[in-house]
Amino acid sequence: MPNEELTNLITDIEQMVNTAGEQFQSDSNLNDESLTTLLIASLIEEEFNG
Amino acid sequence: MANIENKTFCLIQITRFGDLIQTLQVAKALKAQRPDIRLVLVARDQFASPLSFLLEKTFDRIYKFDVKTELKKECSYKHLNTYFSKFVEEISEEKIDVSINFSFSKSSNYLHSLIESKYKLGPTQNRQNQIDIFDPWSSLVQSMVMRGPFNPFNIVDIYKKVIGVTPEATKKFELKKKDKITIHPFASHHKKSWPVKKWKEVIIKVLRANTDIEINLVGAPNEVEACKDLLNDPVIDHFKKRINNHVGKTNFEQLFNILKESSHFIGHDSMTGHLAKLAQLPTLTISLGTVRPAETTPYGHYSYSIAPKTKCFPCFPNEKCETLQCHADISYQATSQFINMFINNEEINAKTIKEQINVFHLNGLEILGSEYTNANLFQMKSLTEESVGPKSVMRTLLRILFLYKFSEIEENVAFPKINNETYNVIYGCLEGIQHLYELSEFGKKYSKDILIELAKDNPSLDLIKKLSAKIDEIDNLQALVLQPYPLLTPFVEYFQLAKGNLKGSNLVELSESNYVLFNDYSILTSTLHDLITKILSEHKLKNKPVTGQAKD
Repeated sequence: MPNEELTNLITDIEQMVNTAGEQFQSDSNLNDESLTTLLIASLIEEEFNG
Repeated sequence: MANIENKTFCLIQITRFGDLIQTLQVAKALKAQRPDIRLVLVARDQFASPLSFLLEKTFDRIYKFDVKTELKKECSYKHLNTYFSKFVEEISEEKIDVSINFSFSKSSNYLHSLIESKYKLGPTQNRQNQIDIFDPWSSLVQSMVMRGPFNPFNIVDIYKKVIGVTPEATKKFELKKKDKITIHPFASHHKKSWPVKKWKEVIIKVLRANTDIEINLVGAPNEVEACKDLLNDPVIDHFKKRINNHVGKTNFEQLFNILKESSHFIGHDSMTGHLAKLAQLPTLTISLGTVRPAETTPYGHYSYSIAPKTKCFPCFPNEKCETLQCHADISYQATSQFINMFINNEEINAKTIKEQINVFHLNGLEILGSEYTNANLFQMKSLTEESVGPKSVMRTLLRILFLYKFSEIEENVAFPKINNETYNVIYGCLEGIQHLYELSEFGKKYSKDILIELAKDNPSLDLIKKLSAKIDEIDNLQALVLQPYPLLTPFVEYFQLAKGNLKGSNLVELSESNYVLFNDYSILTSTLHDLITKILSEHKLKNKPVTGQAKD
């Protein structure tokens, strides 16, 4: 997988994790969309960092 | 009794091959007891697909995901989001009654939270982004498994307890006459695996001593180079005709068939050992580095483990180690002598081991053998040690206490035989246990005071805050107790995890839960104190110096 694509993916995920954080701040509860974001972020972390 | 017929259970196991095989062993036990339960599995495609020939016999449906393949299709967050949303939706359509997370990883916790189910066992990541674990056996995994040397239970028994499978010993299989011995001389981490030169010595010695056997070498494609190194030896060359090299040449089904046609299996802690046990083979595991024999030795009859007596064993994967002393502490001479006993299906006990293995080679290692207790739970028992060390005493006590606390099961356990050194160490722990007991009594008092205050018409918020702060202080003080008494770590960590998962949605409910937890902890620590005192008394009684002389 080209490094550039991966960097873009990680930037997107970081942005979505921030959005999930904002959603959590305003609702005091994570919704399904935010939980899915955190699932993807943790899977990517496991996939590439072991 | 509630009707649980035709229910759907979903097991989440998204970690590696070995964990998946252990999960399969639990699923098979559940299906044997409750064939009416529909069983679904959620796993990573890269681990589940190679094992599908086994998994599909037990699971009614397997949901697999594959991050890398999806990224190859389209490397974007949007694509992954659509993929996982659909994946979760599809699983949730199963109308799952009970979902059980056996993976204990952050990603599996999120996945578990997203999957719709009536009851959840094992960890979930709650809507406040905190880990929730409400069943006691999963709490034990979270606080003890792979966190130190103290977990006394095999992971398969813990998983069975999480689900509620009634403990039953696996069926005894017939031992085959030695014929083809399968060896997997590699492992996923260099800490868990001997250097090739040591395996060379073992293989040569075993082939020399047993002229009627062949050896199957097995391994993954990434182990081909190491295998070449192993076979690249003039002495090994002499035995070439009796060594069948399958390394990197088989898929999992072919590997399983090789194991089924073998008489014995020898290797390190790896997936192949668990597969060998499924193929009903006696197994010998050379346990090194991060391996905890009590926890991960292949589950079943005729499982043996050779473990080093190195002080730092078992260690953690992230700890750097230059010397690998535990590798040196297991001599290849003792190993090959034990293998001779093992493959000849000889009676293996302390006496026969001492008769056949040079005591100087036995010095740095311990040989353990599997057995099922009167409660039908698996355990690894030392076959070489007359007395046990402090960690082993703690494991025994944890097993007694947690089995009774969680399941009201009492096993017949003999007094651990200790030496004077262990006596002094565990005697020293009594003071630490006393501190923990006193702290929990204070915790009970403060929780009770909060409840009394809350019951008043005009409760003082200031007082409640002060009392809450005192309860928080107890957590810190418990951690301080561990500094001089590290043997008490599992008791404190289990308590702190339970405290982080208190049930209750308001101050009254939380204070009640706090009180109950501190009360439990008081009982646990006082019982621990009693048990240790009894072990110490027994030791003193047995080692009483002889006074006076017999008269004629």
